[in-house]
Amino acid sequence: MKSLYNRFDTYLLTKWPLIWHSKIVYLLAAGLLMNGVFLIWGLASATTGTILNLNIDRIYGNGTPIFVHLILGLIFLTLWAIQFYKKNAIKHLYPLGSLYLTKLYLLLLVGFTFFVTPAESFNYGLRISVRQKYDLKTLQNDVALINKACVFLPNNSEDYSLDKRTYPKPFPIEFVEYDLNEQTWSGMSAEYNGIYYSPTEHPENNDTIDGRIIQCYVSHVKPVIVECYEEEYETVIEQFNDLPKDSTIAHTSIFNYSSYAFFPGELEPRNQDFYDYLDLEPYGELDKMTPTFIPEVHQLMRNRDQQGIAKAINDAVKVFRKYQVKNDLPAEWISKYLIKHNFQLPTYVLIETYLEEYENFRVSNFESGIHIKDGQINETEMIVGGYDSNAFNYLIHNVGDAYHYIPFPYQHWIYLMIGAILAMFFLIFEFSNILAFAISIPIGGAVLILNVLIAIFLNPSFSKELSGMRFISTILIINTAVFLTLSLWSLSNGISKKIATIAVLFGYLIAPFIPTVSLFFLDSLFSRLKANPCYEYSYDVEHSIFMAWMRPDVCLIAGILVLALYFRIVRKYHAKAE
Amino acid sequence: MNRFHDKLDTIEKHIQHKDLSLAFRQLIDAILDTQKTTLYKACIELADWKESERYDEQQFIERCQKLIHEMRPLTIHESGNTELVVASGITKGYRRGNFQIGPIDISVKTGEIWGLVGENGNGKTTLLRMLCGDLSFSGGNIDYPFSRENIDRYVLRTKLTYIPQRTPKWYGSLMSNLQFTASHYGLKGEENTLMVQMMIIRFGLWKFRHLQWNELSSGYKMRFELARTFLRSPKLLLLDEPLANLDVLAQQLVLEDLKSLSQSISNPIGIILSSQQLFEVEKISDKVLFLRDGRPTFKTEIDSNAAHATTLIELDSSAERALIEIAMADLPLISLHFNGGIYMIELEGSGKMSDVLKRIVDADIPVTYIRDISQSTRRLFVK
Repeated sequence: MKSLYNRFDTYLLTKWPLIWHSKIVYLLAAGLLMNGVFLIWGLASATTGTILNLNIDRIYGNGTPIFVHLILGLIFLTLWAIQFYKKNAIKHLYPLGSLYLTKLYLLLLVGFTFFVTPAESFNYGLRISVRQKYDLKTLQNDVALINKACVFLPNNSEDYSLDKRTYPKPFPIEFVEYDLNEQTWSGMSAEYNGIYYSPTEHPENNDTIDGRIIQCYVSHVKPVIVECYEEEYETVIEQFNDLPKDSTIAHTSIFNYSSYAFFPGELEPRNQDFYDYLDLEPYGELDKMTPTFIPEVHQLMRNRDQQGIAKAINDAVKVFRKYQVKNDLPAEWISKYLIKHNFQLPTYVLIETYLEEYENFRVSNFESGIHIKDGQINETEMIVGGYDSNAFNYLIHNVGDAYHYIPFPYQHWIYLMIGAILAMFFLIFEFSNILAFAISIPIGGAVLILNVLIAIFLNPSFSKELSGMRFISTILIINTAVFLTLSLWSLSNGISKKIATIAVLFGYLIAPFIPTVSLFFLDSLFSRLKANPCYEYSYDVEHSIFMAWMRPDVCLIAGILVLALYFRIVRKYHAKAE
Repeated sequence: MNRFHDKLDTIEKHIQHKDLSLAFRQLIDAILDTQKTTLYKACIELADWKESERYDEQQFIERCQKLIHEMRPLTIHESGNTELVVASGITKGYRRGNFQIGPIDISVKTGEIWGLVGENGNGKTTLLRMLCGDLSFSGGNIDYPFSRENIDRYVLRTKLTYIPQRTPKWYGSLMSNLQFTASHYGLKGEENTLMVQMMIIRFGLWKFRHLQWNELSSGYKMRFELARTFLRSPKLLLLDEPLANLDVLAQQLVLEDLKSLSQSISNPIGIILSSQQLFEVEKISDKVLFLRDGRPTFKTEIDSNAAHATTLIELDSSAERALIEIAMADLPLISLHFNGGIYMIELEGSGKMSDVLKRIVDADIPVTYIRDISQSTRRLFVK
């Protein structure tokens, strides 16, 4: 084995000196090994308990894997560094092939990127395992079954408020039953010509069907800006209608039932907007939706079909059991209760989301000799059962993630960026030493502060007249220019090599950021101020095209190109006389 | 007949006289001149066999002669003598130590060896570092005619090799380090291995090729540095005290090797070496430069001055001073100094060594050591 290793090593040394020196083969081998280990770890981590209690994409970052990754990475990197720094062609002033440092840098970048990707391998393993455990189509059907039962399983009394109820389709005709004593109209955000709408103020739209008062009007949904920038969808009433006397209600929404539903959209294919959507509306409104099974539900309610309602709940129970989601749903009792109370508000059916809390409550009452089904919490609410909706939400999210995973925007570029920064750091010691590097950091910091002070001193009104962004970008570009000038100036004969070492190290550290800083500066020059429509005397920045170019991919590629150019300075510096 | 064939003839003579070690080293140099891989392989095989238990002197001679025979028909391109470095009036001052070196004028050609001597702290290392571009200088100019087309200073410095007195530590095996060097100088694959092995053989490191830095003596570390340096095909080689860690025999060997390699037929180089071993350096050097307080004196100046000046003789003897004075009484003795160990006899006129020897024999003065240092830089050390 050792002989084989020696032969291979000698082959690389004599045939491919750059590859041999970079130790990329061993770096890649270690990286692949780590990726393999984390893939297997990910496969093994997708247990039912995990899937029902955590977002699988957060297991890596919130648990042991990230620490193991860091420790393994450090061990491998140390071993690699010991070998890498043993021989150094630059310090010996050996001839370097064309673009030697650039090629070495790119090799290290690739190698180090493999050190970052075990996170991705771990998550990939998790996703494979989840896909093997759960069938997407089956889960989609099961979600539909549960959502049908959810109509009868409200989480809390607020699910019964009028504004949370599901309205009939198709638009634009809206039929709403209302109770003159009902106070929750205040929660309905319907506007007509800017006048707040209340059905009691529009008796002309009232009609009575089957003894119930019905409102009927034409409406449409439009996005509206609330709080200046937050966009919401609002039902706008366009006109009021008199309901024809001979009309019938095709789709009634007049029964009281919960609008709570699990979001099947999680199980649909995604695109990059998915993350933007989550950022804007993280789950809060996702569960408020119009179920597609309304006619079926209405049928059950219209016919006061106690058996049918009990069956819908029992179907949900079966699904919960199948997926090992904790539940305790007395289907017969609930259906009987609903029929008995004619689906009227206020409800006395309350299903607790957090099952543990419910169980504690039940055990406590059992010990007190109170029968839970008759045990009333207060005048209006009574716990009768429960299911772990969080667990089922995690399940849907995780299965959706496993089948329709899309990386975060620029995720892979960010891995490359980390690899690029690591490669840059380790390459410093090819042409410098730790002491020089350690000295350069505080001196560089002092020069940076000096530059800022000089900039402020030269133009004290700087920060007053310009926006903060423009001020910062100006400081950055000044620093970049100063460091770069220092690097070039230090190459001249009169400057000692010690000073040159520090200056060249500054330059090296800022070189890859020159494109980003330049784009930032250009954007600050060309961006315009726009009056804020929400606040008087307030302005927003309208960015230029340069800001659009400040993407990880553009900045990384441009940074590497500038670094490649800077390697020419490094080479000249290294040959400089002391 | 050309130089190459002269070289082969010389090797054959060494073999006839059974100076086999010298013959083998010169044979390797000749093979290196041919740049033929088949000959390299044969040489490596021979060296490997030579170090084995199967070694037989007669067989070794036959195999060497066979190699010489194979080389006879070959024609080697001879490189002409070109200027490598021309330093004009270079100076360097140190404010703190109130010390200045120079101005110094140097012009080194291929095939030449320059000796650099002087007491400690007189600027030998500084001068070498200035010449190899490692140290900046305050005044004057250094021109490298062989590299005029190269404006890249890094490329220039790859051709100026400087071996410091204290060589840095290296890691890994001796052979892998040499292979690393060779691969950066364009030697790839089999050619790399062959060339490295040739250098290992050339500098007598065959048995140590798998050893690491801490397993080698100082002398072998210097040999390793030389092997590494010659793999770099340098144009100008600058050596700072290369003999410092070598035993007497090794010093002779290294100096002979340097002389031989500097006068390579296909790839001659220029060498500047500093040393405290004055006589050994003077023996192989084409020119000797003495530095005192940073100021140079050339041996040619000493020679021309000595020709019409005095004779200076160094004598190590247990005899009493009075006895020596009586023995030298009829000679034009200027002075007789005793520095505690050695007598310095200074006489008027040149070429008086034979007269001094005659008086010593006649007076039956015991002699441990005697040397005429009239034309040596050694006389510049006499205070």
